[in-house]
Amino acid sequence: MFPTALTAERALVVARWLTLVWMVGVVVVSSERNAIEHPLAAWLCIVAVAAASAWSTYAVRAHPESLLRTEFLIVEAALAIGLSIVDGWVFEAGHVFEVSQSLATQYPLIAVVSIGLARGPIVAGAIGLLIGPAEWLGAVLNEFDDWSTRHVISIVATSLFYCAAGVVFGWQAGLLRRAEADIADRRARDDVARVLHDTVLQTLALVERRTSESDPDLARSAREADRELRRFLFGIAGRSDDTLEQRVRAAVDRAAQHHDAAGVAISVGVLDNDRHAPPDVQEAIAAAVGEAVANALEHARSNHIVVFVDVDDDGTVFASVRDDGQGFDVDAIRDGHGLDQSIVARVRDVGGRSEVVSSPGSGTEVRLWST
Amino acid sequence: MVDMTSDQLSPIRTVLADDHELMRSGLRGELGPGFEVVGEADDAEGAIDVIRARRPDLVVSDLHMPRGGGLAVVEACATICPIVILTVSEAEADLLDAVAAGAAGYLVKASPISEIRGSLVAAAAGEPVFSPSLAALVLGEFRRLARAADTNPLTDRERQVLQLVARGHTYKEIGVELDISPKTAENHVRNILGKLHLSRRADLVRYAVEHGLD
Repeated sequence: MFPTALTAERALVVARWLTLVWMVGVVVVSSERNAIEHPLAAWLCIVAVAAASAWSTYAVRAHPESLLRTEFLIVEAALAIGLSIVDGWVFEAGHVFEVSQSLATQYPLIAVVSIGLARGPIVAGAIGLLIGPAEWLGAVLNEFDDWSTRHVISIVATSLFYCAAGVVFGWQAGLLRRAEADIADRRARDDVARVLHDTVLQTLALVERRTSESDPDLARSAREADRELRRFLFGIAGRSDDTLEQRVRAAVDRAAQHHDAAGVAISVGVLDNDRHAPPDVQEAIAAAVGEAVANALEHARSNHIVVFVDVDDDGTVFASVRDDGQGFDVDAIRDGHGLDQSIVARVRDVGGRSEVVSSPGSGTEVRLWST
Repeated sequence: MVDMTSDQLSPIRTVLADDHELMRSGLRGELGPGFEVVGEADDAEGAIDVIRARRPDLVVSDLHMPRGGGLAVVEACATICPIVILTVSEAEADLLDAVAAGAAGYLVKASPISEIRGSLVAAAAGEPVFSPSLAALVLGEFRRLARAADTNPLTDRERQVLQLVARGHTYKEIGVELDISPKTAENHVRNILGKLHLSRRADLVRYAVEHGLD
């Protein structure tokens, strides 16, 4: 059971006991005034509510999950409907429509909240709808025969009230349950991240470094394990609400995974600027950066690749991918700019431009602008 | 970065501070003959004691350690010798604090050992180990400060230099690009670090005044 549900169940236990006290008070006072026609039925109701209160008090401490079980929920619904019927019957005819104290109008509310918590808005709303007819049945059993529009409206209003209570509470409980599941998930992940950060990531870093020259295969495995773990821990996955930084890092990681990145240091600096470019622009720049990194890994023979991404005052995304590899003569390339056509196309598709700066022996820098 | 370990006359006297024995022993083995490990510590207090007692040429300190971490070591010992922060992830929030407090720079633990060695030699010689990703972090920090204070503490030229460092250009390349000498480019970086240090201190002072501390 999620924490807020447990709190709500505790509150319901208190509400059941208060209802019980209320019922005893009403029955005692009404008996003194001779307003009760069926005292035995009234006391039986009190015993039933007392039993439900006692059992829920025990359950909420010992095994709160059982408060969500169908058996208990049926008992709750039966109590709510039963009390509503009896309420119309134990007093004199027409009591349900009087302003005088009723036996247990609180209990149906407790029941729909309890059911909403366990089964959601639809079931709780449906049970709430039954309360009006139950009051009508009570009045009929009591041979009430003075029906008018006012009484019908009263019955319908009762149904709508309990139905609305059940729907609203069931819906809110659902939202809360999801929110709390998210929080719990994040907390667990943070805990795991802290532990793994201090142990596994440290060890992987050591393995990666010690083997980068002696055993490139092992170094590559360690690097991949390191990236996988980070992706899991820090949530660097392709989601639509990703930041520019997450998109860029994910694209760079993908490039490194699919090419031989052993012995090549890739550093990524992204200035997340609170100036948000549209998601398709971010995605296009990230993908183009990934391709530029892949190119560098494939052709440049470099030791260090530096990725830098920044957002201008006017919202233009600027990205540069620079390697310290062998470089090439840009003018000697046939198509005139020496930049991979897939990079050019990705950036052009969102209205951006690209250029490459390189010369033999001094590395290569690919520059991208989103406008 | 030039590897000077081979023609160095006396090895660089180094203190290692890391709460992971595995990391320390690994680094000790990898540093090679150019370095002499004269002391080790597994927490910040221990590191400060060792540094004060041994007066090394260089300190390599983990960022997260019991009792203070790398930041405490930098604050206590930055005037004694260059301190290089070793970190698992460059996304750590306190990394910038350590650099602002006077660390010579930082290295990511997974970097190839040749790069680590080269950077440590440079740091011991008094050069800031100013990696592109650190430059990006610093650039972001100044942008944050500029937005908060509504004035930019950096000159346009300093911003240009910082951006080029963040993009992986060497001082020599920056010199060519901006038509200045490599030395001037390096001086700009030094000034930027000084301003970062000052602005962080100003932040602390403002915080202390606002919260009635002194």
